[in-house]
Amino acid sequence: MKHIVLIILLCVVFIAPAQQPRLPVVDAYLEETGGVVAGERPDSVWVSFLEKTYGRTGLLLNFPEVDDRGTKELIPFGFRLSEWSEIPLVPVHDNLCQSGRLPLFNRSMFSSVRYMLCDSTVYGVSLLGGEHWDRARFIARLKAYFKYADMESDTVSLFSDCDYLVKVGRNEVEAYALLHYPGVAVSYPGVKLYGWNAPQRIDIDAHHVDLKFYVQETKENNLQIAFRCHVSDANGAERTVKEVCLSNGRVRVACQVQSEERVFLMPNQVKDLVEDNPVHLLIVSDNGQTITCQMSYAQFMSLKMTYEYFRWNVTNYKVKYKNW
Amino acid sequence: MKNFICLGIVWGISVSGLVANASYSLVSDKACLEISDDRLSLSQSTVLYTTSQPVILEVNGETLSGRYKTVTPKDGQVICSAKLTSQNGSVFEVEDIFSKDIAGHFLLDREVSVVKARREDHYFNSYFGLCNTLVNKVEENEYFVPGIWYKDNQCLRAGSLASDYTDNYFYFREDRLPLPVVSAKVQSTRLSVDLMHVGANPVSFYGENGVGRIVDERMQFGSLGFVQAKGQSIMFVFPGIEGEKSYTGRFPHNRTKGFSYRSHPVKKGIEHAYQLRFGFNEVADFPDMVDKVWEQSWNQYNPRVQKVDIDDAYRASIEVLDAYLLNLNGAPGWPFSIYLPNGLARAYNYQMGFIGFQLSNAYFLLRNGLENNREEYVEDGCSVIDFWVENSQMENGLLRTWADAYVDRKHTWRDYETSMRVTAGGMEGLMGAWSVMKKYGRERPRWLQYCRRYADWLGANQNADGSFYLSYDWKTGAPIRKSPYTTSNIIRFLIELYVVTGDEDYFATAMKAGEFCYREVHEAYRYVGGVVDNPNVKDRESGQLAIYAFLALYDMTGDEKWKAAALQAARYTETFMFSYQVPMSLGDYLTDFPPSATVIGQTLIATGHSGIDNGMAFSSFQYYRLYLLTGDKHWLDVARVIQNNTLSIMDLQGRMGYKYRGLLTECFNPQANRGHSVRQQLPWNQASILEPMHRFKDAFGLIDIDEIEKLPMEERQQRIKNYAETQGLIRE
Repeated sequence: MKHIVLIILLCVVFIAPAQQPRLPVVDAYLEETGGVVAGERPDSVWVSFLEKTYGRTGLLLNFPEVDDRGTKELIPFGFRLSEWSEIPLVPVHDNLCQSGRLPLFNRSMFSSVRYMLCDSTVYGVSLLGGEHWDRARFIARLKAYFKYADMESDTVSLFSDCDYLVKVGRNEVEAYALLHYPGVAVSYPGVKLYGWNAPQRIDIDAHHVDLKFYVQETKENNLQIAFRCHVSDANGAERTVKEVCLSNGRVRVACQVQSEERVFLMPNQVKDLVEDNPVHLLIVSDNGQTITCQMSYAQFMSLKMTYEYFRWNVTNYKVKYKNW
Repeated sequence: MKNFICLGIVWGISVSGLVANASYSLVSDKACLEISDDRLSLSQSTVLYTTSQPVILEVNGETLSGRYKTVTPKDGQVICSAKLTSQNGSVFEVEDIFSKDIAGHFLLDREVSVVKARREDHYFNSYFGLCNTLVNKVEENEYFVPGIWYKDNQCLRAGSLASDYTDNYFYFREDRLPLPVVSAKVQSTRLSVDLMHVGANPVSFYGENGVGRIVDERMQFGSLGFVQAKGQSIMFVFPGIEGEKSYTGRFPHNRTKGFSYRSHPVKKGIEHAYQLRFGFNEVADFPDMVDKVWEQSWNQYNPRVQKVDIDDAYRASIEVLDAYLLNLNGAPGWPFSIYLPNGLARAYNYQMGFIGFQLSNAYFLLRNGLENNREEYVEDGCSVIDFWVENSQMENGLLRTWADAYVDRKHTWRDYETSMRVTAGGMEGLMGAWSVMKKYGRERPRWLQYCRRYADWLGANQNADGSFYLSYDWKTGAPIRKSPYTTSNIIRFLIELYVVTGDEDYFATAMKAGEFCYREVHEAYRYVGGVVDNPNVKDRESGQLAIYAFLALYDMTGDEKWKAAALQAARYTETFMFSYQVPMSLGDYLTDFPPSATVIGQTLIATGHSGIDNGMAFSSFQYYRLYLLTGDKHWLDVARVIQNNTLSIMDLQGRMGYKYRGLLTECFNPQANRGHSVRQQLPWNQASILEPMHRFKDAFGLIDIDEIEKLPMEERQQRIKNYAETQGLIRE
């Protein structure tokens, strides 16, 4: 009897409910691809605008003439560090890097300089005010060079023209050569967005406007000009943008905004806009509020350079597109 | 001791399931669903689908299955609950509610809740399935999975979903299915089983691509399919894992099989619920299964018509034709493609039909010119047709079908095969152009002669069995691709030429070709090769061309077999059409699919991938005809969806910022990178909109189905009868 019971109990243990068949091949699949991955994310690369648009490098620009010896000794924008360079570099992001703080040898308002580089090419500098630093005097020198300020305050003043953007903080000056400032190519699956954007904010009436022009590139050399426009109010709350108008006194381009991340512009519209500076910006948000400003030259340059990139690279239907 | 032993025996037996637990039955017509705590059985007649694991989860890749804790009948439903604990201690509660649905079918409402989430448990999936243990091989069944699997795995590209019968798992993501349903017919029976996700809303997010396991609660799509192991199971997986083939990405190490994993996080409050319908249909054969399963699913989802101003779409399309026609050094035509949204042309090269549709677009433009006294349109359209008539035909009548235009020299002809598909589109356009010019008293005998000479070549080169090969070398006349399944493509042209000329030879050629197609396409259920730039696979366009061919033959003969063949082809074709909404991905601002448009009405192009386009737009006239022929309102519903929804991707409201309102994108994707399109328009897109409009106009004098429906039925029947006799064409 005991044996019979024991046998029954043993059978019970092994009579398991039939399992959903899981074949050995599943374990092989799990090992190969069953590990958790993130979804596809965009990949950003900084690129030389000159090289990507014109296929050329070699443009060198010195710091604007502002009557300061220290700025005269600076490495020119567009200079590519050689393999023998002794400047210590610190990586910032992928192909962007910056130097350490380097002293200036000449008498100057500034005590030191930090260089900003993309693919070893200088595109920007950051100057730290020294013992002779006089902000008001420096601002006056910039006005003499640039004729007027895009924006002026005790904390940030902006100057720009077709060559440079200069930002004057309380004790630090950042300067960029616009044509050397790198563009960003953001790659999504099947879509690449290439934009050159002025390294500045647009602050109007306590609103912050993030306006960036770019070219969308997709297969078979399909280039489309577009912009993104986000507005946040004084509290940092995002406002929905309903309409964006760009005008230069001669033409007016009004865009209804379906998506703030991408508003397409026709090439002829952009061409008309870039033929005249200044360009005025008008944004209508969801609460009916209107924000207007005159775009700074640097901002205008981003629009202009987007068009430049487009027209140098767009397909001409009369010439057989070799990759089609 | 004895008592202890007895208790142990009872415990052991109950664990083993040897004791019959309470079981409840639901009956739906002849089908019966038996539910107990450890078993589900679906049966009808001698066919049984069952599972002893009603609740299956997979947690961290490990199977976790169990029985119901409670099974309670209530108000015609059976409510079951289960609690499963993972190895790491996470606790899942499952509630399943079974109820009766349409004849032979039952519903399952399932909700899975995470009651306790342990950090060690990262992700999970739930499964529902039933197994027929008597099906030992995949080949024993015939399968219908919309847009993917029709009957067997013949004529599928290697690597396609459902192509490899050595696979054990056949899971298909529902966002690539025109309706989220799968079905199978056991060949030796007259029953089919099907499983559908009811109320599916396959939400996903941008970046959800690739074959690695993505874990995200935003994914709310499932997978449906089959498992062949110890019998054959019909299965639903949530979220949707796809395998052993997938189009979401490449498997590592050049493997051809694997899974593309998608899971939910083990997280309290996760939304993990779905409703399924499953059951049997009595079916005579495979086509009958497709009929019944599709129509039941269609009725469940009841796809919505997105009304478009058809007349405005017509005007906008003519505007595009006018804007882009260009004569480059004596070679006039429309560009190969137009970039969107800025409307820049990419290159001027001309294909006669298929994607180029040069001759048809010329017909539409010149007809508009004749009807509206716009002589420049007539001249422009004639210039295109004259170019083809004077330059593209060989001595023997065979046609060259693709030309390149240049700014600095004469055009050249591509060394590109002459296919039935390409020539059919071109020649039908030319027939229409000839006819309308004659109607307005402008004779173009050379155009008709061009058509005759090509038809004469067809007659002289028809194979003994009535077929034509897919393509020929225009230089030598020798066949290149010898597949005969695109024979149907050329039949309507031959019928039209017969109607115009009265030449019985053309009718005989068409009939002989038709008989071949009846055997090899209709009876074999093999709609293959119409998308000539896809590798001769089962596709949607072959279905469309079969409809045209069989309807044309029915018009000439009145023989019911052609009507039946047209209906079967129509059913097959409509199963490629998205009939439920697949939303664009969350967080994707790069999608080209306008928010104002719907995926409903857009169609998968072919098996082997999930590209979709608006190509079903070509066929709204034929589906409307089928409604008039049969009185079945379903065809009217399909016709209205086609006519309107396929046009919703134009920019008629100007919201998308296209250069011209009549532009539309050629092809896009409902699954990976949803709504991301090729961002170009090809000439066929315009033709797909205009072609059916002209047939409607020829038949009814109107182009909008909703306006035509206002005519008395008697009048509509008389008009379509007249159309059938003449194909809308003038006699020579």
